[in-house]
Amino acid sequence: MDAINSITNAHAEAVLFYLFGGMAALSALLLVLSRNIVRTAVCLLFTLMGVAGLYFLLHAEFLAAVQLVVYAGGTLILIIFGVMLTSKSPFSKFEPKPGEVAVALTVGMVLFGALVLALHSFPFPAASPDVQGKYPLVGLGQALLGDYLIPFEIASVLLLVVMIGAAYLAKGRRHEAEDMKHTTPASKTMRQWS
Amino acid sequence: MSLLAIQVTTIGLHHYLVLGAFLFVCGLMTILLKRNAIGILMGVELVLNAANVNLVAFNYFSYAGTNGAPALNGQIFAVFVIVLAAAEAAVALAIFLNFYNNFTTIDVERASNLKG
Amino acid sequence: MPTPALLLLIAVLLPLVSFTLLVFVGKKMGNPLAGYVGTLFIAGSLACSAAATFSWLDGGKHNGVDWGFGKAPINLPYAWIPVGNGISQTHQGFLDVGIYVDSLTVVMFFMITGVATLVHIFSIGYMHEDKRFPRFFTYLGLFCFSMLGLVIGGTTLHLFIFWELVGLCSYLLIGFWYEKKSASNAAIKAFVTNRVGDFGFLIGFGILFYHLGNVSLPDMWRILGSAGAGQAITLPGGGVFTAGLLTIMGIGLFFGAMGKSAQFPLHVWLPDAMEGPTPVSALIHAATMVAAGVYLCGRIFPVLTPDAKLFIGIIGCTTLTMAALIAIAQSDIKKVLAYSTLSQLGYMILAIGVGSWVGALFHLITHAFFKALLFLGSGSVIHAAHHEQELPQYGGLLRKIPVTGITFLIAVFAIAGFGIAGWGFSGFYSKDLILQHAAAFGFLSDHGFTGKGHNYLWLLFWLPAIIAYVTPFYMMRCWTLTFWGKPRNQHLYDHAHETPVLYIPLVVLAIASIIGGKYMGVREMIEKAQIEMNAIVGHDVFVSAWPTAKEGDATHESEAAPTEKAAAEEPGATHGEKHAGGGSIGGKTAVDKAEVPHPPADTAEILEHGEHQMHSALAGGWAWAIALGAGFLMYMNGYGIANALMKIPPVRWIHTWLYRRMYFDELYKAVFVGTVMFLSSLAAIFDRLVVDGIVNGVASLGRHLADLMGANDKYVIDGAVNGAGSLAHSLGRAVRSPQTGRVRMYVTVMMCAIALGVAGAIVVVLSR
Repeated sequence: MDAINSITNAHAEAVLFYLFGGMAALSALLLVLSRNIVRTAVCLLFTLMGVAGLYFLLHAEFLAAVQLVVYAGGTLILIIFGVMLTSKSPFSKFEPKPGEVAVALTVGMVLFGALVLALHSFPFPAASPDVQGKYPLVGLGQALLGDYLIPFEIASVLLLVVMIGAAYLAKGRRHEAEDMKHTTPASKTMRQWS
Repeated sequence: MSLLAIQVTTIGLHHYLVLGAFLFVCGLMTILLKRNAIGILMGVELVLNAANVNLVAFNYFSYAGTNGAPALNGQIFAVFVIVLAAAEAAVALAIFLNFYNNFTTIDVERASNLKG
Repeated sequence: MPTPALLLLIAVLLPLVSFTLLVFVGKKMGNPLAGYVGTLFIAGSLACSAAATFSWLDGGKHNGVDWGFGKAPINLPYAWIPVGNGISQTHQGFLDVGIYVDSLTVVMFFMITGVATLVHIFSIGYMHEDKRFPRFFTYLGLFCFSMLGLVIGGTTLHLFIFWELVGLCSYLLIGFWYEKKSASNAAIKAFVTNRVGDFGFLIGFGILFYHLGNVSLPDMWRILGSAGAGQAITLPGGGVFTAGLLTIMGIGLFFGAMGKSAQFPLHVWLPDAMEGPTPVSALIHAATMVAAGVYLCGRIFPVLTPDAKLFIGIIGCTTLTMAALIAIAQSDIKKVLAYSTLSQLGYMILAIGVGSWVGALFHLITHAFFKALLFLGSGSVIHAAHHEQELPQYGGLLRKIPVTGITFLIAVFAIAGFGIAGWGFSGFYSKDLILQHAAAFGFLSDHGFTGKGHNYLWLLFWLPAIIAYVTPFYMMRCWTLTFWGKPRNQHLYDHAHETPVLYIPLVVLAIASIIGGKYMGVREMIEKAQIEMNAIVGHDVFVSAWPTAKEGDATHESEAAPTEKAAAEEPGATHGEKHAGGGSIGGKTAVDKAEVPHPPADTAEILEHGEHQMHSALAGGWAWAIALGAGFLMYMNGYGIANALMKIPPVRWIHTWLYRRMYFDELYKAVFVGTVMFLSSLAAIFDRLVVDGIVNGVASLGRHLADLMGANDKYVIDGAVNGAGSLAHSLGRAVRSPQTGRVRMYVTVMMCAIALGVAGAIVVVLSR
């Protein structure tokens, strides 16, 4: 009883944090290291799920849901479709050169080190006591259609444009060649009549 | 006694920020190291996710609300980021498909027509 | 113009006309007309000379002055070149030329034209087969003009101009057969040796002109006539002519005579001059041109200091001895005669040196006659022997060419000084006079002359006396080997024949050789010339080169030539005013102030002593006979005795030395030619190494510079240009290298930059 009662929020928070955070971090690491593109995609999935978990911890439930639905369920699927369409074989390997590895590693290390250093040097405030992790969805909706209306509209136009553009881009050029063939006899016919 | 008596550090902002930094660096390295275009796209997604984590963490650990309501700016920002990430992924994949149709390979090393 | 001057002027110009005529139409005239024309003109000169002689003997008046035989001479100067300062008393500031006629001039003209005419006649026959016959007479005409012009000259400049002309004619005539290399070489040798002498002449001439301002003979005598005292002379225009300078001037002028009269050491040209045709040898190198030197000495006699005269005497003595010795050993008949000429010229120069003016000039005239005869005779012999000139080939030719032989013998007797009991051929008188004066000179030098050792001066008597034995010996040797005995070349003997046309000159000259001493009045003329010169000088400069009495002896002032036993025509009245041709300034007074040399009081006695000495030296006048006999006896059977004597080594050595002319030519060649060649080779080396080296060096320097410029252009400039291009290229390539087109690389670089930038910024911010 005492043991269970003494499980504070902090404990739970920590455990969950480390669980989801670890999953995300580990998946991210594996994502970097894996040579198989499919495995990379899977790792990305787990990273996204880990991040969604973190959102839950941060009391951003809606965002977590959006993350899972849009990101993991939409974008990732798209990516996997792309992988399927463009890979000759799921096991095709593209090895980076050791020099590149070294450079990337160095850059990464440097940046990570710098960022961590900066973070540790900056006194961040503690969590606000009044917030109990309640972010009413109403507020989100109101903000979207209120303060952030214009970005919202623009985002929708953007999505439209993206849809059209992506559709056009992915169409390919084979149809153009067939159109060209079709037009040739007509031009001939027209020349006969004139 | 029991491991429940272990004092645990409260998870603070910097935990999330460090995690976000780690995710960001991993995404960066993925961009640098992957030759597959899709891989690079994944790296980009990772970076965006790291940014989102940061945003949401900041949103949670700072109080700047009005009228008693807590601030939501970070989350809104994150929503839009997700939207844009999706749009971008769509366009990117369309480009990659075109690329694959033209060159029969998805290796970005093949895309060196800009060579001077 | 007084008659004699005019006649003599015509006599001078006639050969010039002949020359001009023959130059233009001589070739067309041909053989023998050209010869006749030339002879005609020179005969005309002879006629003019003879007429001038008679006119001169008559006398006359010119410009208020009496001229004539024993009176004043005729002086007609002509102002020619204006020059700066002139102290001439006739023409201020001019270089004069002009005519000067006195007794010496007249007698010289007569001799020259006479001998020249005879040579012309001889040449018509002798040069008959020559293909350049007219040219010969052209040259002869030019020569006669030059020689006569020389003799008539009244200024040193005039004399010198014709002096050079005579040298030119000598060159032309010696080298007449120029196809023979030896002939053209001999001509050049003659001219060059003459030139060496002329160099000295010009020095003397220069000194004379510089101090005197003019060069006319009478002025020179008047101003410098007291040089015989050996003291400095004050010039009328101020300034002093030191004795040393006078001596130098005298010797300088004498150098010209040394060259022209072939005295030692400039004698080397005369034997080689025998390459010319024999008439040329007879005229030029026996009678006339070589005599010009002696004539010059005679004309400058008053201005000679005692030292100069001593020098002259020594040179003359050396020449006569050396030449006579060489003549003994010669085998070419013309060479024997050439050396004989040298020897006799030495006698004449010696006479000038010891003060015997009369003796020198008298011997000149007589020598002209018998030497010309000897040469023409040898020409006849050569012609008869078909141009064979060597004595060993002759022998016994008297039977085949008798006229030549006898005339030759007469000449030999003349040169030997044949004389019995005070009468003799011409040579007797002149040579004995010289020897007498040489002995007198020896006595005078015994007479208390200060300072210098004088015993050696007796050599100036004894050597000529000994050579007076040698001369007949070698002449008789020559005659005997040619005309006596058995013929040594039978072929030559058989074909020998005489050419009658060559007779006349020989005979005439033979007669002149016999009577020329006593009967032609030559000596009188010369003695009168001496008086005339004394008149101008103002005192007696003759007889002794070493005066012992000084000024202030009034009894001597008016003493005439002691050889003239008759009372003196008076020089006393001729103090500078008896000077035809213009006014005179009181130059006499200035001269009087200087030391005026006088002959010593006992001059007559000394001359007697001299005569005795001479007589005893010449074996009481029988020297000629002894020597002639010796020569005849030694050679009358040909070379027998001579060859026997030659077996004795010392005799053979001496003979070789003499036969090779004492190796003078070899010596000169080694010394002068060798030096010149050595210097020229030095100059050539200098030119080749230094000058060419510099030139080539400059050229190669230029080429190296050009190479440098080329390299500069190639490497520096082109290098810069190309370098700029390649720099741009490599810059471009360097800049291009990042543009790999590889996206991943771009991204990597970007990320690096960002990472570094961020990290840097963080670090910077944190460190504050």
